[in-house]
Amino acid sequence: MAKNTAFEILYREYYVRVFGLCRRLLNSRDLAQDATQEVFMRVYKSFGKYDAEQPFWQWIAAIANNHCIDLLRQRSRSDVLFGDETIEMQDIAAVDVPVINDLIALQDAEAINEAISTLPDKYRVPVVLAYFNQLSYDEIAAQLDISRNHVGVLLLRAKQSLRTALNAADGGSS
Amino acid sequence: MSHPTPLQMSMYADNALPADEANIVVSHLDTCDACRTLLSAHQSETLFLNSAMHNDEPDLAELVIPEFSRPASLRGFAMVNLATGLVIWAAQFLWKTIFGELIVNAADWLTSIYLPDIYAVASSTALYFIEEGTAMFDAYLGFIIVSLLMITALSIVLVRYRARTTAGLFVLVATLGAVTMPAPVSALEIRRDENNVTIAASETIDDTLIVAAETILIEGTVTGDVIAAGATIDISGSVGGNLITFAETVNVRGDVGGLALGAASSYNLNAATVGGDLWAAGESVRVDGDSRVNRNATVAGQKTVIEGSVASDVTAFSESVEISGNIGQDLEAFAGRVRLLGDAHVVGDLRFRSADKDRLFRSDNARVDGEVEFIGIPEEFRERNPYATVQFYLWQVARLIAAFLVGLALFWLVPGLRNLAIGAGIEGLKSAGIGFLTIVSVPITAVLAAVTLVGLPFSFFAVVGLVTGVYLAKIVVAEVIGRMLFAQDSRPVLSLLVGLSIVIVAVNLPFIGGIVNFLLTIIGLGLLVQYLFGRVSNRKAV
Repeated sequence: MAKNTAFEILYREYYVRVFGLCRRLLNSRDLAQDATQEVFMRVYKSFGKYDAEQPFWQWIAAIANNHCIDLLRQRSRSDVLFGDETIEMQDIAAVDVPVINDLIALQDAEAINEAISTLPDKYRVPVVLAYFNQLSYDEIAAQLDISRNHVGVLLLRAKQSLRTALNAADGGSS
Repeated sequence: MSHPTPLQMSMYADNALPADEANIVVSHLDTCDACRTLLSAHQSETLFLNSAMHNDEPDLAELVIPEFSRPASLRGFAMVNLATGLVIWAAQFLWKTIFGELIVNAADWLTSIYLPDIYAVASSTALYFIEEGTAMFDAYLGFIIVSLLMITALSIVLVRYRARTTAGLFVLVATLGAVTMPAPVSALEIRRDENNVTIAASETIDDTLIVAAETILIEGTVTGDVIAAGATIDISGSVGGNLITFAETVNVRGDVGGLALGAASSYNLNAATVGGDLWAAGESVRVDGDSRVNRNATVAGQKTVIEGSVASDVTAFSESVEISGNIGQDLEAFAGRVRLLGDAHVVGDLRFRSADKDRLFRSDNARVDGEVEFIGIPEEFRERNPYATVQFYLWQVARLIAAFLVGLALFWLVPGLRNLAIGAGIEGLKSAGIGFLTIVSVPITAVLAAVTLVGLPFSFFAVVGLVTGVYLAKIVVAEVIGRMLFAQDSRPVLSLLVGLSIVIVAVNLPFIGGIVNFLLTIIGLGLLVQYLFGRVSNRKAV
């Protein structure tokens, strides 16, 4: 009974955050709803294993990350969801978009989030893990089963794509 | 000194550049204004990304939090199954005990000294069941269907736990369906006697007849099927449908409209006509000169004699096959000896499988219009050491390749299966236990479901699923074993191949191979079931 009551409280408190995280990772409201239920199902089942020393959000976010990345892998039917490091490196050289500080600074949060949601999975997921979940490069590398350098490459490519997208949007509006 | 690369700048801005590289970048920044400006832009970008992503999305404030549906555990599912089974069993037991044993046998019980003779109890229960079976079946049918549909609904809850409303609807529909379902029309006539049952020549039965007695004589007409079990069965009347018989001696002397299927020590067609196929097994099977089978005859027995005519093929598995009649198409004999006597006539081919060519005897007047082909007994029917043949190893290699290809496809389609692991100690035992329960309970559930007709598709899918599961089980275990050897996922394809090779060698070990095979199968099946029910947490889970 005590478990159920404690769980109910945590469920209400964390539902929105978990949903927000899942939606950012999966880029779909419907999928995020299902995934959030699944995440809480897993939390419920392994509630006894939770180490109270660890922040609760960190624990639940790790479960959500795992589940959503598994879903993305299943959707792409491939384990190489995050591309090949060498090819991505070549792309950096080929499409270097200069950092335009003012451009990004001028954008509101909504426009940036909108641009993030248009990124392909392989760029969006590291961005969410790094800037939303505040995970370190090493943690992201472990989570995605890729090298630390590969994480750096993906994040740089993500930022390049964001710059291009925001640049185009800005150009279109002005 | 050259400028840092865009990657170095980006990683430095995120505080993620390794210390040695970071030192080089810092030294460069001291001397390069352009790079300092660029770094500042990168850092601002990181800050904006951080703050933008933590800016609460407006629609989240209005998000309605759905009620959390607690998971129905595998244990809960098992308990529900068990409870349903117990309820069905208790209902039947009480019915039989109160009405069958206590009331029906009350008179006997009062007038004689009751001896707890197991045979008597069993036979009177069986007798009662035969007499009242249809009515009981009727009464239980709805109940069984409701139970099965409820189990199905609960399974849906397990698989898609959120769909509580759907499951509720399902149970409601199932209950309504069972309540409003019309009772099956009774089309059965059951006769049971310890000594004789006779259907007199003047009698006509318009239903299917089920009959059990020491001696069964059917002189009249049965328009439906006849299912008969006894010591002696003699059918001189006519059977419109199929004739299914189990007896010491079966004599068919009349007409059978459908197929005749029977097992008997002695199975005889005497001046009989069988409209459909003949399927007979017995020590001696005989189709006399005045009998006719209008389709194929498949016969297995010590001695097969066909003096009459068979319109299509004859397939005989017999020590001795004697043909003196007419066979409309091919004769295929898997026999110790084949004799074509008198005016025997085989219109099609004669294929003769025996140890020796000389075991075919043909009289001067016997004719075979088609070809006569002798086929030696295939290798696999001869006793020998399987390990000493090339075929054995070729077959194992084929098995390995097939399993490897299936495994590749399986893990490609369901990458999550790569995360399975055989737990040590109690976890491993749990997997094996779940596998064992699955292998035992699925066929039982399938048979129960098949009885209800409505459940036939369910039982079909259950059996197909189980067979597939049993095949995939060893592949899953092989992959786990391979992964254990190759330090996790470093070489998935090679580890699958090595794992499969180990498993194939292990299941072919002399003496213990069978046990190993069984253990690997139940463990693998257990893992698959656990995976399907989401019980195996991702190995990366915290």
